[in-house]
Amino acid sequence: MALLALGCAAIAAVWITTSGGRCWTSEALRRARIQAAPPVLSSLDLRASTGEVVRPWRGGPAPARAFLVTFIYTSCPTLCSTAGDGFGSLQRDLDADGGAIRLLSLSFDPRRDDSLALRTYAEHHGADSSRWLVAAPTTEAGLEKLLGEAGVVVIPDGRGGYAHNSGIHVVLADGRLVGIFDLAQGQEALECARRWLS
Amino acid sequence: MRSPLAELRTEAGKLRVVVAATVLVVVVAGYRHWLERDMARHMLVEFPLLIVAGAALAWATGGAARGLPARCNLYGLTGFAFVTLTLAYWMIPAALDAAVRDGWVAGAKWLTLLASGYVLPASFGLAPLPVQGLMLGNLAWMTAAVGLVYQDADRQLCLYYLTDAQVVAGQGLVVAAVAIGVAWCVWVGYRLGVEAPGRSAARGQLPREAAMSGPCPRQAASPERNSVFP
Repeated sequence: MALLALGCAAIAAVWITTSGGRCWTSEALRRARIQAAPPVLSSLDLRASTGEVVRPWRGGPAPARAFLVTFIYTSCPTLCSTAGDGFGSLQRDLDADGGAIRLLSLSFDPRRDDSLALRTYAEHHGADSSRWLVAAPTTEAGLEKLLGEAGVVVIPDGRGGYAHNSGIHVVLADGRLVGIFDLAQGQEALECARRWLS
Repeated sequence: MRSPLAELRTEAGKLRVVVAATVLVVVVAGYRHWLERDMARHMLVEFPLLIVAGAALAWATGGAARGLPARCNLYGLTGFAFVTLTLAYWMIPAALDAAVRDGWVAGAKWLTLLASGYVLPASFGLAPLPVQGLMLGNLAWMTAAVGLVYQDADRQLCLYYLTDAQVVAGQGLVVAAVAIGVAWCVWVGYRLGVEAPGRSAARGQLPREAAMSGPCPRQAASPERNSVFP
């Protein structure tokens, strides 16, 4: 009987932790939870590569109604560069949406990513500022809050850089984070944004 | 002059073990952030230290006999299952991340690992060797399997640990699995050597077979009988 109770308790704990046995990693759980109940991100002021201060959602620039967001730091030699390349090709597909969907590369390293670093990153990846914003939060507190709300974890990699859960985050103009896709799933993320806007 | 082992069996010795286990828990708590900053330290140092502290507390406070009521822990199965399930649970990447992120999950981890250590001495005492072998073999196999998964994963499984750290932790888990198996085999060899008929007779003790089938089954089933603890 004790063994049976123990087994039931263990199954219940694993069931709850892994969302019914479907998600064994925190990243999978984050994506599943966001899909089930999209969290609302707080408004945030950003310092863009163009030098202007913008607020992307909840008071963002009309007519943008959705953003595809990747979290980056410009000195990253691997994933963030891949994300930039992906966005570089994805921005050409945004014309059909008449500016309703914009790309946003958001730096979580605002201390090192000054306007020059952001501009260099934008130019290196051919970012068209009317469709693709490269920016960093104006305050550390705003950044911390955003990372917490989006479930993004950034840890030092011991070599002067960072490791983080990367992905394309689909954020609507009202701040709702409605989906997260792998960096290679740019088209799927775009389709998701279009579905929410239609 | 008493041996160190005999010294530990005295009331003063047991009190020292309780103090040492308590100090160990406090030290681990003090170094928690340092231990949990690295995946291998988290799984291969903090986990075992908490289990050892729990086991020491159980032994010194008489918990070796009372860790779980014997009727709830037939042949030590419930205790071993609790230890195995606890360790299996905290090896799940999502659970490990939650233990780093959320204080209440970290508290649950500490409690369950200490409790695992607490029920372990009694379970060893109650479990016949084949049951011990089965349960520890299962634990070792599971640990090795998780270690291999951590090594082979091509991406970060835990958000709070780098891929490099994940590989090192995976290798450490495989080594720990082998160590569990080897340590148990060595201990069994030692016990069988100690309880060999010739040596038992020389020490004025009943051989194991006689003890198990003798007129005193209570003694044979005593938790202290197979105990790995002094």
